[in-house]
Amino acid sequence: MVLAFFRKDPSSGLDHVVSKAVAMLGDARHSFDLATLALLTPADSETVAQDIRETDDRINRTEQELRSQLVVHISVQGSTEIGSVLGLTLLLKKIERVGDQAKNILDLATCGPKSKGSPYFDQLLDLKQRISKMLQDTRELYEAQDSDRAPAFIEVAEVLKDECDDAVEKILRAHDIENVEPSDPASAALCFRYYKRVISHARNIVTSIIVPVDRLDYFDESKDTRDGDPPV
Amino acid sequence: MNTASAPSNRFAGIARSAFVVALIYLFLVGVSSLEAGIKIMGQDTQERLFSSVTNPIAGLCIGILGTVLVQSSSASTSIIVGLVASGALSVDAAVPMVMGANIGTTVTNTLVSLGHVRQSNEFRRAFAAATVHDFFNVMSVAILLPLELLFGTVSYAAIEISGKLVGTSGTDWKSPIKAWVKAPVGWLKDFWSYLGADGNIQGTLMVLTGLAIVLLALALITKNMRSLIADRVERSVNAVLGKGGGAVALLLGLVITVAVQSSSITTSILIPLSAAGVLSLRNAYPVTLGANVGTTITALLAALAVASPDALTVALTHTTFNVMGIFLLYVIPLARDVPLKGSEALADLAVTQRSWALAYVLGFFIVLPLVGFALLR
Repeated sequence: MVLAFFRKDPSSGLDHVVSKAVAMLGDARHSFDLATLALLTPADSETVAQDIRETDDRINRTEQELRSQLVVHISVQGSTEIGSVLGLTLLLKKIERVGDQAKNILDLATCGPKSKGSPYFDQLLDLKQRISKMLQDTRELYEAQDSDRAPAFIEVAEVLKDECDDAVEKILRAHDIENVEPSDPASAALCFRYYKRVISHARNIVTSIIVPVDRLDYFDESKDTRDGDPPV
Repeated sequence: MNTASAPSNRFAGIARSAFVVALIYLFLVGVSSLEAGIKIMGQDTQERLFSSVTNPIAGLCIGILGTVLVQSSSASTSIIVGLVASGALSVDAAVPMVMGANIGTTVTNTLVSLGHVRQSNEFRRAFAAATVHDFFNVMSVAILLPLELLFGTVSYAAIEISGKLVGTSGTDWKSPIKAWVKAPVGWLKDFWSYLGADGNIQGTLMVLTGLAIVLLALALITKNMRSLIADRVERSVNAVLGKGGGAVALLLGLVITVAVQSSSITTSILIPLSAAGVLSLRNAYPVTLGANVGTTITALLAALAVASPDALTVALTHTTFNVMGIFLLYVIPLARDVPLKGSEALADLAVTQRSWALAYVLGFFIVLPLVGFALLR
């Protein structure tokens, strides 16, 4: 451990935290994929649940470790990177929340619309695939701090969120539910809401590439209030 | 996050390293100027100046006050080394001053902890982490100063090591560093002579120039080294957080402090970590002890510039005192908890009554040493 002081390590400080956060994003996506697998396929829920729990533990442990490291960073290096540190603190929470949503989806797996005959199945499966891809893109964009591709990503996220909202509204307004399993509409509505939360977290993570820390999570509400900011 | 290009970073690092080497040389010139200035003064002047610190408790108080004033035990012990080398201060008189410097240096992180005064829980943790250093140093002095006065316990080991390294007391030894700094010290002497200063005035001006150089060089060394090794320090502290305290944390405290030449920097880094609850008091404590030993490197470096066995003995006394303190108060499990419990109790008191914290800092670091010095000089 003392040798750590003498070793040359190119990835230290915030670079190290960012690379661990990117790995956490990979874990969060893994959890999401597993949870939706349990929900939408005949996969063994118990086996999947074990994997998700372990992944979630890993995400939580990493979040705590990285929070400590951010405090150390500020203590040692001073406040010059305070904006990045605050941004990373929020980012870690968002990644952890993606993992939480995956656990919520897993809870639905026991009573969810697994059957291909469910009227919601196709849409849930389609959205699942697009969100999984989106989580992969989130990871790539964040790792590369790609501000060029971020606006396009955010637009796609908004479209997906609207799809989730529409799906929930459709369920709530449905009159003919005689041909569906009694548990299907409720669990599908919940699942669409969980999907929407995952999309929102992914969008906010990518947003952090292009907006300052005070506007994280609120960028769309305040985009007209600042002069000279790039449109997002 | 990594926006700076690697080659320009590397160049900046090399330039800063070269600057630090130049500053170390300047620091050595400062210590040597101090020694030369005292030597220029007459024997009578020297006796008048330093007769007041023959009482060991007065010497201890002067050590505390001087260090509080310059906020650096590295600076104050280097000055003491310079005074011993000049012959104005005896080893016996210097040892309590060095112990006082050890206590005085803890004021910096205690002041840093006061920044958390608004949040009770944060303040409790920060104040405990700061004052554990005070408790350790005061207890070390309470045990080792009487032993030193009665049996010469602390300086015995230093004299033995010094004797092995450079020969017996009273004779100069050939330090190559002393030869390297001889020329600029001579230029300073010539400069003041050219302006018409001689005798005591020239000596005083040489001492003041030496003091200014020592303080400036040390401040710049610390600032630059902190920038140079910030990433390494961050990595090391993270390693302590991951693996806990103990001997490794102690070693890391030592290594970091040797690198930045300031225990105040090392211990002050621990305060926000403790305040945030990221670092426990039990894990911060050994880092502090390592810093206590690490900071003694500066006086040892200063001793190389003055080439006096007595000066080296005093510098080594600073090291042996801190190492003995660790054996007495950290290695022995029963004693280990005393500074921890003491600092926690003081922190509880400070949280209950915030004015106690301020009264403690002013009373312990300024009023008490001032009164002690005034009464015992």
